[in-house]
Amino acid sequence: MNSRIVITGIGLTAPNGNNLADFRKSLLEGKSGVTLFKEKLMGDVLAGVCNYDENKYQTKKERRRGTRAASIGIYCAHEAIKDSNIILAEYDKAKIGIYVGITEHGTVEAEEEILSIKDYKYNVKYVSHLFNPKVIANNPAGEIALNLGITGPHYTLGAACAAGNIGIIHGAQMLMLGDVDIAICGGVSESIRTFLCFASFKNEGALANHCEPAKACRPFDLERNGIVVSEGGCLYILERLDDALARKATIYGELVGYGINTDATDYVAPDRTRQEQCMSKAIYRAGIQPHEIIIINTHATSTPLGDETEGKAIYNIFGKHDNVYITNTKSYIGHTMGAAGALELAGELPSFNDGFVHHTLNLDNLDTKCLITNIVRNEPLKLDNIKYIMNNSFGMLGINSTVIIKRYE
Amino acid sequence: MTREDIMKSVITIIQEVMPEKDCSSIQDTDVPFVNIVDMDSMDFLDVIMALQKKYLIEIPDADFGNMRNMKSTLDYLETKLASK
Repeated sequence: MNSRIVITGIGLTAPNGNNLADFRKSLLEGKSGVTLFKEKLMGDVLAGVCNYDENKYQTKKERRRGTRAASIGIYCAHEAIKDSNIILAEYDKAKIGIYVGITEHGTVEAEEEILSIKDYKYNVKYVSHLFNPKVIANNPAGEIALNLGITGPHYTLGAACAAGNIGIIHGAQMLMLGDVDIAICGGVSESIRTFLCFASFKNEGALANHCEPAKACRPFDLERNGIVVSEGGCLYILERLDDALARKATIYGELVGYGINTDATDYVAPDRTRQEQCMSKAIYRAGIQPHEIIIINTHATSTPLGDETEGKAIYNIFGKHDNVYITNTKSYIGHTMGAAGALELAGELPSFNDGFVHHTLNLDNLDTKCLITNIVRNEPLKLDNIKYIMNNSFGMLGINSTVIIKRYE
Repeated sequence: MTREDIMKSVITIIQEVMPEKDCSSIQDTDVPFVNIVDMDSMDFLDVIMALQKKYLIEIPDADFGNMRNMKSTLDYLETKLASK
């Protein structure tokens, strides 16, 4: 890396917290955000639902014109900027970039529009003029730019459930290139607002089912039976280290390693070898040995095949990993799709300061086939000297991503 | 349906389109909506769409000029609804 890139601000909304402090508190207290959610066609489904204030940074009219994904993004962007203490008025707005990871965008809006003309016998004269700006792929990033008056580049990165990590990586790359001075980057998801997402996972046999919502997402547990779909968002302020130091910014950590690659083997089934290669690429780029990683936040979504594949991939790199501690955030909040990588990483970063590794919920009977031998369970674990955190995020069509953050010192 | 009924519906629709504005003061006059509630072109199209859906009518582009204030809107809608 030519420039050192650091995290200086975090804004988020998760099903169990609307800022980093509350989110972290929920993780350390074992508080789940999974609940029953009334889906318009499917009835009660299990989901992670965010309850941030939509009108904190947007008028009601702006919200009505825009999308839930963008609303999440706008909330997170404002919170991140506030957290970073940067004063936008002091920056050239053309040198700020917005890079938002998404699993998909437009399904929610297309579904709503089609259903809205159902009562009019699908007469297309009733299609809203607002439909196109809502469904364009850059919508979540574009609405953030519009809201903040940012004139630098804005776009989304469609990378399935690896998108949150990839938003961060891309932001860092644009800073390294000198294309921007501030990167607002991460990921968002509004996927619980479309029945198609739930129905497709259900018909694939991959949707979680449990009589107690908080126990539905159970990565690496023998009884795991699928994904809990959730919404959420997390955007970071990234800067070059020199710039951050010059303004005496608080630094959450330094992005020292990353990897992105592709399975090229299947539409949905993961590939262990490519996941290993992705993690290895990130470790190599960080210039460290695997045993120097202290926390691995796993992607594991609570599906039988996905968790086993990732567990074996980790085992093949880290062995019995006695000094490497595994954890999982989806067990609390479900799968926040395009936001997952960014949001789950944010939940880990306070470990550099508080020294805790949050535990994985619902791990009653560890599935030994996953080969996970050092997972934190039952309660948070206190450690000394947490220096490196690794965060995995993998997605459909075989997109893999790994990010490594080093404690700044 | 009386003129007053239609006016109530139009005000409700404008209020939904412009939730931050107080639309209760809109009267049956020829004062343009834009002067009362700062309606922009996107808001205007939303109001037109909502009226079309509510009354199951078509308001062609050529008639948009009739919809710029409450008086002409009501005149237009009364005629349109009477001919349904």
